Amino acid sequence: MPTPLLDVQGLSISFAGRNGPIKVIEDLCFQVNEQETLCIVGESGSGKTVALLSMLGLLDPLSSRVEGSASFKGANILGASQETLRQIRGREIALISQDPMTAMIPVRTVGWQIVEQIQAHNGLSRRAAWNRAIELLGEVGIANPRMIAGQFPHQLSGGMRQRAMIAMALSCNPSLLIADEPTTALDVTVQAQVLDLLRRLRRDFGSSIVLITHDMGVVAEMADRVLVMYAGRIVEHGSCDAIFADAWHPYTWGLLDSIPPLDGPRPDRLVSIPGSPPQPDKRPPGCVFAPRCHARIAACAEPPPRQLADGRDALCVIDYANRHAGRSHPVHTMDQSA
Amino acid sequence: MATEPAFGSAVPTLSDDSRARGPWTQALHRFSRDGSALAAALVLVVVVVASLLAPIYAGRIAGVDPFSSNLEGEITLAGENIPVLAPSTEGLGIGVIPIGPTWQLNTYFLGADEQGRDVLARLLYGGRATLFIGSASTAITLVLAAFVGICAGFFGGWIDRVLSRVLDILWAFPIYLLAISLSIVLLNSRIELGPLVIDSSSLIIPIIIIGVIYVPYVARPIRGQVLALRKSDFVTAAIGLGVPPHRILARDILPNVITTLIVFVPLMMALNIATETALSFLSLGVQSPGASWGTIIRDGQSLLYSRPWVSTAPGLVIIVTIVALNILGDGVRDAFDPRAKLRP
Amino acid sequence: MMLAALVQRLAQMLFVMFGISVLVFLIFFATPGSDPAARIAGKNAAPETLVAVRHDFGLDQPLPVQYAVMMKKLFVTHDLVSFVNRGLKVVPAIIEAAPVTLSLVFGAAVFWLIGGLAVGILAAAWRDGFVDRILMILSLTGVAIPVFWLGEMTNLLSQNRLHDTLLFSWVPALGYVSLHADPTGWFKALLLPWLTLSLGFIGIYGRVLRANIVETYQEDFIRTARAKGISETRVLLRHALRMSLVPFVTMFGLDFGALVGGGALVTEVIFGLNGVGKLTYDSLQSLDLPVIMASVMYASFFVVLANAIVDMTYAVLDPRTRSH
Repeated sequence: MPTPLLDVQGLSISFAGRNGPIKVIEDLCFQVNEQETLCIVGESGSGKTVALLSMLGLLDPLSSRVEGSASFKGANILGASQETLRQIRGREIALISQDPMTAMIPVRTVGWQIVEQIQAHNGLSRRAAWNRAIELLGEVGIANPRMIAGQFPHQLSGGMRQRAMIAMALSCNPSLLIADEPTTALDVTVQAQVLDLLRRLRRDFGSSIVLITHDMGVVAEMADRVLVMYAGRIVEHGSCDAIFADAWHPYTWGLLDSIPPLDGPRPDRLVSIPGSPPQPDKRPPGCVFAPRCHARIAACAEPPPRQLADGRDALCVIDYANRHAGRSHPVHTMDQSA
Repeated sequence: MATEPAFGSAVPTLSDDSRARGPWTQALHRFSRDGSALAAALVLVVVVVASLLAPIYAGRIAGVDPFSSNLEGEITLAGENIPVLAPSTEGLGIGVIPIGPTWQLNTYFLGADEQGRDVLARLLYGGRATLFIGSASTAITLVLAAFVGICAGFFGGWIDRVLSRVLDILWAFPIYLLAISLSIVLLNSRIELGPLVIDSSSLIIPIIIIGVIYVPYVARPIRGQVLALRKSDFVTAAIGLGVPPHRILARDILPNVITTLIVFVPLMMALNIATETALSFLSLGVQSPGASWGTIIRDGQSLLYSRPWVSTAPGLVIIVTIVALNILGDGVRDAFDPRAKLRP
Repeated sequence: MMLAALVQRLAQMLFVMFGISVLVFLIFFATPGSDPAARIAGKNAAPETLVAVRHDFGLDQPLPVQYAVMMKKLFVTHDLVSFVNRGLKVVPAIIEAAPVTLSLVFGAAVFWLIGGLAVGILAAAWRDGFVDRILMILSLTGVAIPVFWLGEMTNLLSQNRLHDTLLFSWVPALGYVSLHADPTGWFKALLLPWLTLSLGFIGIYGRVLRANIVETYQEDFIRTARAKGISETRVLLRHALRMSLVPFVTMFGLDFGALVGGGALVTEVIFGLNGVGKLTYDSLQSLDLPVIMASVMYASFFVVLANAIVDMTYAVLDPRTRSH
């Protein structure tokens, strides 16, 4: 079994709250392997972005506490020095942010921003770096890269901005690309293009991608493996095929069921999971999902065990024997009470 | 399905923390936990109380009249009789030099000025004048600015154009020049508005002048705020529903504007006090024999090298007051609009 | 398109200056109870003297005529003459006083730019730490110190109390020394006035810059910049500071413009510098109306010009404001 590219164990993150620290991320364990795409899916507030930002040391040290361990290419990064982190950022691990309009500094041209990243890690001359930037813009499918490089972010369309961000992220050939909801701020047609682009680049550049999203459709298209997060925990993990064919956790069932069906009889109402995720400081002691779970039992008042199998796991009391029964029980629709 | 364990329903209930506090109570609560703002407020209270007690100090404790000259007086110090204005032994040896600080509260604590008047007593009285002018002019500025800003921002059209032009011209006039010009002109003439006669020594003149010149400074942000509010969804909806303008103003616009005004109060007071003391220093504010912190500094100019405390003391008091007002101003602003300063 | 905007801007400027000239004129010539002739002639002048003075100075003409005459003398024939000092031509007097004010303001501006930038950047770099708190308290104090009082205290120390010590023995007597005649003397005479004038501004600018930088740090592009692997110093200077410059430059332009026009009059008076500010102040004291008119117009010209220049710098500093 080759060493995973990124190996996270027992990651817990707390933020400073008015009445003491609030635990936002609870005991996260996951790996990212070479040349694979891992999708992290969950609702807003599940902590997806925070967990990945902590890998790069981008959380505010004054108001957050990070515990646990994470190693990248075998070396510890959670406790690494600022200089080590600075060298990793942009070169080994790159970040693509959610909203490219606010993620780029408005007063510098797109080319300047890419050149800045290149020059931070390579000793290239300005001209060489500029040419490389134009090259990259071309590789991400921008039609007139030389002109675009001289433009400011507000002059580009949403799709082009995101492509430019991707070009910037790839400029130093990172081994790991973290894409934080890269298509959320874009139109549906542009979404498809950007996903195509990511897939192609993963092939050509050989990097791994951690793709954060709340859209199961994106997961189906892109993922090799899937992590389902809820209320700061990983509630399910497995290969993309396995998850879609046979999910184990009721939350995942809810996510899958809520995808509007393309064929079959037209339902009266769309399916949704009733309620909303708990506030980080109001999480129930037992299973976090229990208040919204249609398959809960008395045992869910205790912290659930992790069901393990080959290459997948789920944080739930329901084991193999009861799974089928629980799954076939209809998930509630919006107008039915618990 | 097994019996329902006590989890709570799927629909989350209101967390018990949201004791639906209105924004004012919230602001007050935040303010009460701001140490430096409270300290600043305390300092200001001390200054105000001391100034208000000026008559008591002058009358009971020091036994002086701070407004009339005391050229022949004597005081008893450690058993000796010392004239308040003694013949000068410095420089060319001509003229008189007033007594220096005795550091005794019951007599000429900070010494005398060149008219033989007790500096500390005048300092306290000066506080009354300066603080009164500062507060009154702040009130005028805020009321006028709110009126102008709301009219311009809410009604728009030609009203906005005219008002903005007037504000532009007013603001383009270098502010101190405007204050000085108006002061000079108004101080030299008796203003008779029918039965109302305003004497040149009245404090009304500096109050109105200082109040008016800063109107553009506050009116512009208010106008901007009202413009933004007017374009907001809920106001547009209200207009579309036919809610009469005075209701929209009262219910939606005014509360927000009042919040902005409250934040402006300490800052404008600081600014107005600074302006008043500068004008008084130039003999264009409070007139003799009245006292303000600025006039005392001016009085001390001729005594600067021999009796520096006359000019120094009021300056120190001004600094402390303005610093306290600024810290208070920061605290008030933070109380209404806190940046989440999380501390682990 | 650009030309149209420029012309419109120019028209606006002229309109504002016209408004100011009318306002000044009205204040001095038309306030109820003000009688320029009485003030010129003196308190207990005989009625015949008053009539003579009025005729002499053209004050018996209707107001608009007086205004027109004064404007003509100021801008067209340049022979506006002081009421108080009959031999003094006003425009040359202002031109002669201008270099003094410019010397004062330029020097002070250098100090307060460097000081403000240093305070703002250092406080933001170590925000919420000890350095930050100290700098902010010092800035606050600097803002609160009245300029005239600080000037007095400076003179007290440098001219009198500590004049014999090493620290201040170089300080010359109060007054201006021409740059051409004696550069070292010019510098020595102006150093303390520069520091006095700039202290308050350093306080304001330092606080504003720190607040802006700290606010900018919350933006997304700062996170992106860090994620790119650039150094924290570069993030502070090339990203956060760069974005915070716009309000800083705006304020600087307006303050500089106001001071060049004679806004530093108190400083000039206290340090005995015969600049435009002192000229204005003296004319206000003696109610020398032509000089007052000319000085106020001169001052407001610079304010209006500064406003226009500041607006134009927006386009340079923030490309989003350029029309593409």
